[in-house]
Amino acid sequence: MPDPSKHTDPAGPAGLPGLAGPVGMNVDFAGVHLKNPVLVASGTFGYGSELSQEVDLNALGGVITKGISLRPRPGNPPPRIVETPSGMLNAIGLQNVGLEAFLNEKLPYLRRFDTRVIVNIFGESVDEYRAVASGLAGVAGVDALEVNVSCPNVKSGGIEFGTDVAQLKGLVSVLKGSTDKPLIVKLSPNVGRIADFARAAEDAGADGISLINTVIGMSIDPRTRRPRLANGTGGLSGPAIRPIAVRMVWEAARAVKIPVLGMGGILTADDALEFFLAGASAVAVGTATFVNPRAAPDLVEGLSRFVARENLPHISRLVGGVITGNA
Amino acid sequence: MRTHRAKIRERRDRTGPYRSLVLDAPALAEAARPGQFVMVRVSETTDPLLRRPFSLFRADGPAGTADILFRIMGRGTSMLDLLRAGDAIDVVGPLGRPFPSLPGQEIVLVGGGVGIPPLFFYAETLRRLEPARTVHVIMGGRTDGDLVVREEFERLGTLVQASTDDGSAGHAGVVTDLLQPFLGPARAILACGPAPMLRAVSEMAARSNTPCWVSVEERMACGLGVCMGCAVPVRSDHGPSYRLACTDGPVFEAREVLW
Repeated sequence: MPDPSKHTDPAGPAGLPGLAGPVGMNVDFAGVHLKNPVLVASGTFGYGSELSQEVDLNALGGVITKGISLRPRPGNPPPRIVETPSGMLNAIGLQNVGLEAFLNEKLPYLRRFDTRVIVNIFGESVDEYRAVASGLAGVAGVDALEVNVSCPNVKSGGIEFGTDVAQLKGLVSVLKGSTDKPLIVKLSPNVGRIADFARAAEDAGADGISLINTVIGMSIDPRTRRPRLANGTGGLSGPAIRPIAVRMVWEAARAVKIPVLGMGGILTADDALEFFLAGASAVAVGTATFVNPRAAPDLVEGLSRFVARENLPHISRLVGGVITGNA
Repeated sequence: MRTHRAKIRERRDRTGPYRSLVLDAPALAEAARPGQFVMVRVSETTDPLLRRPFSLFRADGPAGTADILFRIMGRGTSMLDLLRAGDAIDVVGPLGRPFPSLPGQEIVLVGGGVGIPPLFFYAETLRRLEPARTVHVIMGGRTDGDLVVREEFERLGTLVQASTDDGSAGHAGVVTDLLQPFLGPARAILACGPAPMLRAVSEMAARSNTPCWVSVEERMACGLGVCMGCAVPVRSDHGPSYRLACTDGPVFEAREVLW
């Protein structure tokens, strides 16, 4: 069972819905106060401004930005995406504007909204990770960092950190010393024992973990006999990976005391509820936004309705509430 | 707001495997410009998961309708083909940058197969605004069925030439065989079709100093600039880089694209 002490319940044991918004939806995640536990996942919401016509950012718990590296990166050649059953493979290759342009051109927009900004960072080396983290230290409007140790699509996308416990610990320890911001470590699902990696992140000082990133996959065109992605392999996302994600969140949440941000194929409130019950304190919407640009705000509404209908004092009452074994 | 629940007002069989839909979508119809596209959800389930991009074939602001014209090619378009008048579909748009307006210039539209519909939208819009402007159309396809909306172009008063790979209609060959007489700085080319065609048109335009814009096609998941899937290799000040077909395009100046 997860340690209930790590999940703040601002409504208190008595439960006073109505005090903190329409229903108890606010959560304290890794030291970041979220008005609701719904975020948008890195790489699925750009830098926040792209969907301004569809989504009021004020409605979201937080925005996790596209992964930021020290210098701009062009990304991989096309084709970068291919549709698969109930999902998609991508090999974008961490295309991004780089730290400086992010700070000057992208962050000011995000700061205009009453939502939390979590910057996803990555590097090709510990030094580069540290440089990005240092560059964001003390920056107003950045509420936390999400450390990407799990991009499967570039040689140096950090995945070696995410699939080697010792390297992960080393990286997180260094970053902890480079920033005043809460650190959320985004774990790779492409490992045998996710609990080991969750514990390594916690031991090294992470304030929270997020999972899962995409699952490495491949698709081949039988007519051309070539991979459908120029990169050969890519990261699988969408509802196809949801059961894997729920299982890994469940395993990780039981292994650590720090909070877990769950994601992987969430489309609807029911999907998200699986993650809360498995032990996630908050959830992120990813690929669903491609299908429905309003997926994240719709999820906030869906979860609020569920909490109200079930007469729950607070959504955090669900966290880790899966009933396993014989009652 | 670019998300619409659109009722299908009319469905039409076109030549060969082509179909068109008239959608009741007033906000979309009002905002749409030639060259822009929409993302259509073909299924309410998760398989297929992603929306399909379709360039707009027409838009009539006063009537509140926007049309798409598609070729039945795979699962997504086969599912779309099952819909009938009265059914509703979920549409996001208009998306992307339109073709430029090019005041005063003689226009040469070069299209292949499903690349033809957005050029029709351009021609029809231009006819309404400037009935006197000369518009040439060069359309091509594998066979005569691919010369979609040829009669509609002719009814507009555009000067149409056609080519087919198999010689079943028009010139036996490709559109670029017909392009030579239209080259030169006095005219502007707008092209949409398969990448090899666009590349050939771009090269001819570059050699002859003919202003040229192309509407490119690339696989995309969102159409909104957030998935970054639809990368188009382009020249930039710092060497080769990528732009996004969905938000930087789908219309690019031809000389910008690295084929």
